[in-house]
Amino acid sequence: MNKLIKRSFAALASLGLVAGALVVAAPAQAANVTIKVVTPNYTDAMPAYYKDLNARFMAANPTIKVEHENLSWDDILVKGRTYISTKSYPDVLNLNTFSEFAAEGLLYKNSDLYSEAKLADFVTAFRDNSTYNGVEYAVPDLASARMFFINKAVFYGAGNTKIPTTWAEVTAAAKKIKAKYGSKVYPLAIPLGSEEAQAEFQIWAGGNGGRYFNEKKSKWVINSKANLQTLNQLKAWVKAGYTQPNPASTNRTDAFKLFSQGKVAMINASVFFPSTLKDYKSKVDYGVAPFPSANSSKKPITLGVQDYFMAFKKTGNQDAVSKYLNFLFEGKNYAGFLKAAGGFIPATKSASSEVDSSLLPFIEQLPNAIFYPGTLGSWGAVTGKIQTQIGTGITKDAKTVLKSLQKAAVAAGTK
Amino acid sequence: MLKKSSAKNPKKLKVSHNVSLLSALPWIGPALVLIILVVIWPVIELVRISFTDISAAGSLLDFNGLTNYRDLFANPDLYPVASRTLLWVFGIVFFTVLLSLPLAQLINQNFPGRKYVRWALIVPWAASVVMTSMIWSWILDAYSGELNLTLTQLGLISEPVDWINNPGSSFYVLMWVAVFVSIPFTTFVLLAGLQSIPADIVEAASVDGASHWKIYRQIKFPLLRNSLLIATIINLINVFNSFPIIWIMTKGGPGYETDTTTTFAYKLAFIESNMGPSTALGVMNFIIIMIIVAFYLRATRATRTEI
Amino acid sequence: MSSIRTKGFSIKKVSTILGAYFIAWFFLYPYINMFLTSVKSHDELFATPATHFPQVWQWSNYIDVWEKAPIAGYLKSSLIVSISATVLVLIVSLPAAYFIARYRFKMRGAFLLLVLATQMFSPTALIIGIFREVDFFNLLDSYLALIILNAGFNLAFSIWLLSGFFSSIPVEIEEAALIDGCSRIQALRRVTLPIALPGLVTAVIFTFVAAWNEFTIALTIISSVEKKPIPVGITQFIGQYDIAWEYLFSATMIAIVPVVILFIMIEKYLVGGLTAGSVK
Repeated sequence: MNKLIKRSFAALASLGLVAGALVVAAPAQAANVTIKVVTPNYTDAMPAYYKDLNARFMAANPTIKVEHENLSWDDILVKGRTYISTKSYPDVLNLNTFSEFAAEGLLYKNSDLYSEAKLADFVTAFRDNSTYNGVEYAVPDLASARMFFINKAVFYGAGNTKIPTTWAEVTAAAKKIKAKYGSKVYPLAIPLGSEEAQAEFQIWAGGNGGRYFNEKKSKWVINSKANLQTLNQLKAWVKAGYTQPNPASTNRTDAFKLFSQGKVAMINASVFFPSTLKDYKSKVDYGVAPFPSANSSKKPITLGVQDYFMAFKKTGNQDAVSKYLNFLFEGKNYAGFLKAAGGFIPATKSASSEVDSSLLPFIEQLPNAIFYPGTLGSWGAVTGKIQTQIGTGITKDAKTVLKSLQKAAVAAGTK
Repeated sequence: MLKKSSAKNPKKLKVSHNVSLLSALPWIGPALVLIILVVIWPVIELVRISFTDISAAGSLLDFNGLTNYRDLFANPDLYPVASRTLLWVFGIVFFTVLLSLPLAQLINQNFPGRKYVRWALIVPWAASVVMTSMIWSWILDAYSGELNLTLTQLGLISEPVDWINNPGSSFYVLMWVAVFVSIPFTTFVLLAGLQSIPADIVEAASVDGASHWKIYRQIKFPLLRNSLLIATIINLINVFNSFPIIWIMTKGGPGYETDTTTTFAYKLAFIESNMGPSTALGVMNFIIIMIIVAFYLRATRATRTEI
Repeated sequence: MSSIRTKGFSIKKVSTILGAYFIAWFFLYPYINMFLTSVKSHDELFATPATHFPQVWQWSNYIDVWEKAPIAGYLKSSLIVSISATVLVLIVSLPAAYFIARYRFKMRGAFLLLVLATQMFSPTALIIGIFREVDFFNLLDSYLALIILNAGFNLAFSIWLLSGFFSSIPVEIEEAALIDGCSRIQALRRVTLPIALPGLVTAVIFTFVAAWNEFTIALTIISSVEKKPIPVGITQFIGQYDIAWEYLFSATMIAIVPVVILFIMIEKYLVGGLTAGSVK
């Protein structure tokens, strides 16, 4: 028995050895500060971009070591939350929200990291959206605006002559398209799947004066009359058979694919859509127009969406993250970022001057842009709920769905 | 599940049957340490967090008693999800076993190429569930998938059918994929059970003129009970905890209409930033699966020889 | 009568074979489809109408994918983690399984219950706790943590399988070896282990495959590219607006094929391995 016991301890010890030997030794620590940079995978060109950027940054700043982690959008939402809830904050984070972190006092103010001259280069409207309680805590990295895309061949082929500017005109055009093409083409794509339902709904509702949050009164207005009308209008189009089946499960990506295959005549799409169509090698000849509003008395709008770079406060990392972010936003480096991310609107004035001509119509729309209440700390939680739930308003009672969303938003607060 | 035939062992053996816990430790100690470190520790964390207030960003705040549990049970969306979970677990396990029984019988027979058939059956088992879910969502894709393409060419459908997203078919498609990935393991466990049935018993019965069906029902099936029990328990647990199939194919949507309690807990935590009730549901999930397994063990006690 | 029976038998035999082949095709079908998709060009994926077979067999996908992503590095990480986790599981589960098969001791029932209970937790539900713990030990982004976690979650199955095996081996055989002058360990090594080989092989492959395919834990605790195992690594083909299915699937084929071959190699043992586990 003794022998056996000895043997098992020997086994235990060798277990440690095996495991130890298999762990690749960490390279000797040459750097004084290590910063962790966590970014989303806008496209599969991102890893290569960061590999080059970080290598050059570290060569220029030998005392700073950059650990970079690139994650798919699905994964970054989960892992980001894991990092925060375990207090192992990254140093630099690129994400679609910042306010919930600012609300907890985790972020550096922009004034801690950038010179005023540098900050002045960011597009003012985007900069305004990066404040929490009036203080800037993040910088925009890129933005998108949306417009109304039509498949010219199908749209005009059905006898339409003018791109719709109101909901009634959308209905009329859809009717003609359906009459001409039957089930071969869906006149209108309404993707209310969880991927981007909050955007799809907001852009339609925005054209009816509907918002999620009333800034002036500082309260949630998800169950407003304007929003209810919008949801009922979307429902009516679905019921009339003008849309793709199962709008509540159709993600934006699926709808884009349908349009690229010529199966959709009209769609709300974002600024990068032309480059997506190019990737798909789509043969569809498309036209772009401002987004239709509810009726001619309502102002046409676009939905502006921006993502953010933010830096987490940690002892001794301020100088390093400041250097890193300033480096990333240098002319050439930032141009490379935009290129890798694929067809977005630049967030800086200097980069805006040399954009691709296909972006210009979108940039022209920006003065009409409405934005999410992204400066609220509770926006992250509310947007998740809207994403998964608003589409169910198509099959269920619209009023009930909006009411329950309103209730969840009120519970999440207005901080 | 582990039973030793101590009664049969002659007394003269130099193995003692009742040894102290202390002398057992060198043998089971490492396993104990590993289990405590890897499973028990995070479980304790989960339970602790479930009694803690958590901020929107996810930081842990103060102890808040049963608030998370109260919030969870006050959520009206929980109840349809919970009853759907029952359909998910029992439906999948039932059909898995139902299909695996004849399948095991089939690959237990001798026929040319049997080896290759068994190999084919192994593939879904060896491939990751994540990837199998992705390929199924690709095959079932309404517009680019091969199923609709084939059905259209055969003239069975005239318009693409959105199998994954149609409210009528969505959840059943998910259940189908779960059955698909569960069948191989189940079939092989049942096959192993069939092979352990002594050939002479079956032969004696067929000499007596018993029909195939009768032999199966009266002799083989009762002897399969232990294998069946193992396969069922492991499937109950796996199916209840199954996450990737639903998450990859529908994300539990639209709304919560294809969620089970497992994906619902995940959605609460990571999509809706509602970490507190999510951890409470995590604890509830464990309690539920324990009850299911205990109940199953109890219900089958009469029929099983030992476990 | 007998001639009819023979004829019936042969028809039955033919239909058995045809049915079996159909079922084989059926279970292979998704992976055949995956393969065919992996050799299509990106624009053919979304062509209308869709295609069964690639119009152009783009074998270059299988070359390009190695450049598009560090597949070799992912495979290396997967190998390191899976092999180490398997070794760890064996080292830990063998003595435990042997002991509970051969001895009675206090708390034996409690121990078995604990082992069963570990089966009931999925890493997905525990992920926050796992992350905090790994952080506590300062092992984030390390192979070591991934190895230990993979071993821990797969331990139960191995213990169950192996102890079933050991209890099916009559003690008398070991006894005889002892009488022949072998030491206890020698008896174990020369007599018991060889008989338990099918169980051992099955346990090894099980653990290896489970670790090879593990996704959630690896995603959560590994962050540097060079340490990512293949299931996590290939998610880089999932962009925000477009999935590179052809690369995703070619990388998946590269990941699946070795495991399938491994599994097939032990098919012989597999049934025997499961038998002992499920009968006892």
